[in-house]
Amino acid sequence: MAAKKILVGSAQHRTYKAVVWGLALLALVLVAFAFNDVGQITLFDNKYNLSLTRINKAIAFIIAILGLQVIIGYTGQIALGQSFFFGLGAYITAYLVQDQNWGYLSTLAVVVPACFIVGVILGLPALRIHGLYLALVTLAFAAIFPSLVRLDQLFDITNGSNGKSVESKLVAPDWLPLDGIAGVLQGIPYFGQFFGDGDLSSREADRVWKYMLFVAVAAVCFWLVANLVKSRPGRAMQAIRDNEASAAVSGVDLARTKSMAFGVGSALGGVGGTVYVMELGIASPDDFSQLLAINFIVGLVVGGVASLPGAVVGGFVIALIPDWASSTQSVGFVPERWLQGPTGTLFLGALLILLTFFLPGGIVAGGRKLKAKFVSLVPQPPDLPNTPTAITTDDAVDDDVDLDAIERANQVQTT
Amino acid sequence: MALLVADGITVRFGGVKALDNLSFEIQENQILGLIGPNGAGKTTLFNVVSRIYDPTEGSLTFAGQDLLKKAPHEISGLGVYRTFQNLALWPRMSVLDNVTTGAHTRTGQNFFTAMTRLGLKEKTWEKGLSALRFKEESRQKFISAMADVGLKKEEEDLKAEAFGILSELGLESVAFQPCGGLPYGTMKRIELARALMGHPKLLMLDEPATGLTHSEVEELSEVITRIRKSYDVTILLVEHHMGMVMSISEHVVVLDFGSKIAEGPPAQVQEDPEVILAYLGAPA
Amino acid sequence: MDVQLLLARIFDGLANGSTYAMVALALVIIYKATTLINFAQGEMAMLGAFIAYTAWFNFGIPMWGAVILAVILSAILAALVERVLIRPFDPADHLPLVIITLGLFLGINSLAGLIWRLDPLRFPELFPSGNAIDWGTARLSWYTVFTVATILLSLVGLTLLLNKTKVGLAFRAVSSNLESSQLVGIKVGPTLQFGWALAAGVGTLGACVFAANPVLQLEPSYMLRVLIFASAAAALGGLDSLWGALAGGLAVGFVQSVVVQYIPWVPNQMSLAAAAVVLLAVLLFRPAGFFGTAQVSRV
Repeated sequence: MAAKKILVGSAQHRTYKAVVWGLALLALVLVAFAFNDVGQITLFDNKYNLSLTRINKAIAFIIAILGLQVIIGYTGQIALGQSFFFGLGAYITAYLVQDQNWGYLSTLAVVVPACFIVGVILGLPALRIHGLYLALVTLAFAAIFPSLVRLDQLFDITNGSNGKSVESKLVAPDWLPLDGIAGVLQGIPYFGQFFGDGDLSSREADRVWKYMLFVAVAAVCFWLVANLVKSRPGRAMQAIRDNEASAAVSGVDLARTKSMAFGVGSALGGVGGTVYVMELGIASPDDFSQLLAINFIVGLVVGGVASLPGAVVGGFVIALIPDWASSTQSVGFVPERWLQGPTGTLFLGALLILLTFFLPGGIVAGGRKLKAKFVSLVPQPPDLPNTPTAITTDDAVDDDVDLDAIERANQVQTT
Repeated sequence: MALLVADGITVRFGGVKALDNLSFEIQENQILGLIGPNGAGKTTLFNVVSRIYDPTEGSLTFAGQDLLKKAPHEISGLGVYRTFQNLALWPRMSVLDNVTTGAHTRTGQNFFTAMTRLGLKEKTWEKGLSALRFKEESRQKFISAMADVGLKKEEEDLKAEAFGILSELGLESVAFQPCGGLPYGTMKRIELARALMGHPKLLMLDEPATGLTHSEVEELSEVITRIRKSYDVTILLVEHHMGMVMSISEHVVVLDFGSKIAEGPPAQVQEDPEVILAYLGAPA
Repeated sequence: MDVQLLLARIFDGLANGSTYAMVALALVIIYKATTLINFAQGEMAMLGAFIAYTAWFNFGIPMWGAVILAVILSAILAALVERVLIRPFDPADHLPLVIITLGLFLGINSLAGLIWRLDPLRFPELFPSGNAIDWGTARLSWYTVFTVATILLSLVGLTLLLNKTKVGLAFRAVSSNLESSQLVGIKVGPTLQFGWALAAGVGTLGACVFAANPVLQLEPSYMLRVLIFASAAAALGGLDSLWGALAGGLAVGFVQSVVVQYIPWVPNQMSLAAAAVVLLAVLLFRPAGFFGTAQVSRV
């Protein structure tokens, strides 16, 4: 069966988009209620947990990896320091909420500009250093974040090695018909049992509310980045990635574009950190070490470099794999002894290497190949407008441009 | 009127003089061919004009402005565009995106307006404002002020113009494919399209015929003469393919070991004994 | 000024610096051969040290024999890694290489954790205990003396190897100009493998010596911090200079033990940050380091 061709911009395309987004929205809602408590999948005697808590953590990672898509995926700067900004955002939020009584989401007003500015500053080396050397320097920065947090001078703000816990709770607003939705879902024959039993407890309701907030924040971030990629600065970034010298000759201001990319990417890292601390309730220094930085890279690569859906896949992978790996107690013939320990990390390391060889575009690339078997979106040429360059010097003699003449000249060209 | 004036340009790399006291002019709307044996300094001159190299001596004026004061990323702002001998396209971007980026200098969207999509389509403003029942006149004023601020309209116009250029060069069929992996001749035309997108005043072509077949070279000659007229552009052409250079250039400058050894109309240069000596050597 | 304390700190700096120098040496060898930085260098060295430990503890091989065995084994493994994981990729495109070496980093780190668990182990004391100089607080342990001796010997050995042997000549040719080397018939692939093997061997030796420190214990993450210090050291000395690695290593060791202590507003926790700053400063302002050769690129 050949792939069905859909013309971009046609009615068919609109239906296709409506269906895809509709399904995605439905999935988001269903997930909220299905995994509110702990959902379990059992595979070969191994119990794998999936809960909203874990999903919320994944969302935090997804936003951070989205930031890396901007810096590494689209601008080609190998910056390994995202954990620094993740931690920075987390601590700023923790401090403002715990010590200054701010609302959680209002802290974003500080986190975003702060991480943006620090990101631009820490991105300055990228103007002179490239490739592996930049990777090394940024990894070093990521490594020193925990020591920065532990500085005695900052103890009042960061609480040092104890970690800064935040007691303020997010309470689901009354006007949200969560019980209503839960009731509807539970009423579904056969599948209803997966959506819990009866009304939501206040803890469960709060959890769903947090989830909804996080999804909203993530959605905004994705919208912003999607816009960026398709625009003039987005093209400038990709030009830098593909051929820097040529980009400069074409007029791209390398320093400004790189700095802005670093700023945006780091700001996203900070937003991820805010979501993280909102979910976890505590910011501890060792959560934000170079190991997290490397994990973010894993998420980026496994999901797919330079692809926005890749950030979603990547975030889930690094949120779930280490956990699920330790839940794997028995796999057929493998002696138990080998399954205890950092198996998740081993799996991720191996995955990185295998993917680089066999599927460099990450899981998303594989997904795209699969999708291409069913649907292919054929782009349409744009309508030709009043293009000034179509005029020859003979026509535009007067200073007042003759719109009708342009119209006529273009009619001739397009037919 | 002279568009580009080079006066006494000398470029030294250590003890080697890549260019030696080179002076010449390009007239507006002219096609000037720059030829010479390998190592004569043609690419060096290109790199001086693109500001990748700084000359040790000499002056370079473009449309009356001192070009030597400009940085490489500023010359496109003046209208100077070039293609590369070894192709400098962006392989992971689509052909259309590659060409659209040619307009980077003359367009204004920045990170902020791009991300937030400030500036809606004219039609959207129209609909929204008519719903609010504002006076026709104030509506129009507001729309013309706001509709061009942001992304959507500019993007659409750019894309359409880029596509137009692609069509003119016969590249519409590959517009949405990634640039890397396309045939060599196709990529050369894409580079040309990208340079045209910038509305160049001076277009510098660095050995555009390299690697092309005989018929492709003929096509290229025809394309170059055509775009000179339809885009009202001045062309500086470095080329080894004698047939092409001589047939389309109005004026030819010949370099050898960094100095100008002859200049003039093609027919005159072809007969010049110095030029023949440089290329073929003296009889034994 | 307390001379004894100063001397004590200098001796500290010597000990740490030598370790950083050994790992820096490994980084430099790979850089010289390939202009690449191996992010997994620290972990590969750590693996070598664990192999030595197992050979000594589980198989009863005498300690220095175990170390030599580990050096040889890690060299073989590294040659394999180069052939299988690194060679297929274009050295100009850094992203896949960064990813592969990060994958190695994670893989080796976790593998060590799986095989040997995470409990710290006591590495055999390769050098006699006690102090060569005992002057109040300024104690120069024999450990430090022998560590410095080890790196000096390694450097001399390497210099001889690279300058007096055929394979060393091939190495130097490849590191100077890859294309020309190919043109004169040097087998570049095996030469690069040799470079990786050499680097791994040196790294393992360094890791073993480091682990033999009576104060330290062997566990999978013990080389993480060392990698950063060693990178700063390698950059400082010049990424393509072997003796520069020694100079850089000692310099970083001294910065950590001496300078940081005497600058009142830099707290102890910041020694790692100090190394990061050194690394950054070198790459920004003097990319060739102090003893390396500057790279000129042609447009």
